[in-house]
Amino acid sequence: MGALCNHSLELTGPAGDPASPVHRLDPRAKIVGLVAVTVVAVSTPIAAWPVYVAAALVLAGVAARARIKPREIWRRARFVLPPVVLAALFIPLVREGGHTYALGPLTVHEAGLETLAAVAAKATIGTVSAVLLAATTTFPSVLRGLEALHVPRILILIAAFMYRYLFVIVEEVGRMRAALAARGYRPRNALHAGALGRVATALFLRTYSRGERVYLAMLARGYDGRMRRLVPLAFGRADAAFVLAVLGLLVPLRFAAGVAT
Amino acid sequence: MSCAVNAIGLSYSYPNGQPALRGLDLHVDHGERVAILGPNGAGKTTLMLHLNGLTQGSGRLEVAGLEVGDETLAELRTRVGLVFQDPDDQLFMPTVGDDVAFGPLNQDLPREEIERRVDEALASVRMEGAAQRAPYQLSMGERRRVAIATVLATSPSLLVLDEPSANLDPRARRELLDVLSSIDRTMLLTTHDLPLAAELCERAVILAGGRIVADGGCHEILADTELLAEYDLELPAGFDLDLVSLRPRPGRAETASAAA
Repeated sequence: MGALCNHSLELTGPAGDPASPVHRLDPRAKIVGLVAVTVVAVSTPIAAWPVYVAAALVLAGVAARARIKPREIWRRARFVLPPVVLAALFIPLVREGGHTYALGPLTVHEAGLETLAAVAAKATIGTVSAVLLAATTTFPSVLRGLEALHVPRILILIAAFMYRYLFVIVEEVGRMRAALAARGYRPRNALHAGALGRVATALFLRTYSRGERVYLAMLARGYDGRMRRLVPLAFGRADAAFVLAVLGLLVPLRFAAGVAT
Repeated sequence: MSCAVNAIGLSYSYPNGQPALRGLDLHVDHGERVAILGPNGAGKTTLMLHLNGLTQGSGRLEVAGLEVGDETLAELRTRVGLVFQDPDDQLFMPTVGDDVAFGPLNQDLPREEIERRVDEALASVRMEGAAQRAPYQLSMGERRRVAIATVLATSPSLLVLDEPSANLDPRARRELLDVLSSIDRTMLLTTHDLPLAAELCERAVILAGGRIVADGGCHEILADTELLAEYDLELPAGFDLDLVSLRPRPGRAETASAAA
């Protein structure tokens, strides 16, 4: 069960040098800065490609300061990026406009190629931004940052509990799978899937009653609907400098490139 | 003087109408350690939830000097520390330190005081240095001890534990016993682990069918095999009760020798 937890969930923690200036930034600074990079990239038309280059340079700079190797970025990005780019590969075949090129039996359109390039660039920049945020900030810190940025508290609580109990539920699923396998369950066709439905039901009921017990445990220690924090977040000079540098570089470039069409 | 628990005619039925407690009477004085024994479904966990006002039945219930009711809930929960059976229910924060600080934070204590209490609580369950660890990285025994620390940090006068030794291997159980015996608080614990009760508690009550059916010295109750059998309880085969002695209580040694 440990192995079940480890292979994908270990990719969620921080990476690189935990003492780097990027790791030590206030989570709000990193959230605002890296979300800004994504928003700028997503809103830029392909004709203004230098904006993409600038966004990529910002991300490369952040990764370098945090000592996160390209291999580590790829290890995390591979879950998101390849499917998106794979889907985008069909665009040049269907989006018509401009020159056409024959590729064996297929016809490739110039407008489609442009769209493909734009989608690929935007997806890459967006994904790498998210990977860098997650690799330089613990999940609880990201949540605290979002909370301080006035994201609704109920969403923060849901995300926090999901993070805490993901491991518990993964273990529970592992035990149920083992119990099925131990009694010779080897699904060979769709009709055998019924057992999985019952597993899902049992899992839902267990999770639901756990939720009730956790709530009782919170009440027992005086929970009254407010999550109090021991150490307040501190937004310092380095944090302001980071946000201003990112916004100061990308926002003027973005506006110089004109409005997306 | 107020008492730790005074229940008179306490009754409670589940929402589906099934009765869980039927006119339960229980009196516990400050400083006592009481084991609550009984078969599954006897109402042990329901009683524990009542002691913290998490469920409220009819009848009279006074806990830690407070009449249990909606107006006293906040104060009651600082005076009564409830340790749940499954530590994964109790430890809901991302790190051990956050979790131990949760109760004191809800009491709106100053930051230095909270930090001091977190350190002390973790030290008293021998989990110093675990503050930054995540609950899923801990062993079952460690989780159980951290769960106890989360309530010790609120500085309760009454400690209530639900099946503290469930699912522990012998070594983790031994460590838990050491920790519990070093805590100088009024303590109520439900358990099926009768040897644990024998080492820790001077008094035992048997709860069956929502009522207290036996109440007395722990060794006397555990030595009464007919009584135990009547309520589906039994000591492990070959267990010699006479070879087990009650653990010394912290801060009690002087009193005992002075009396002798």
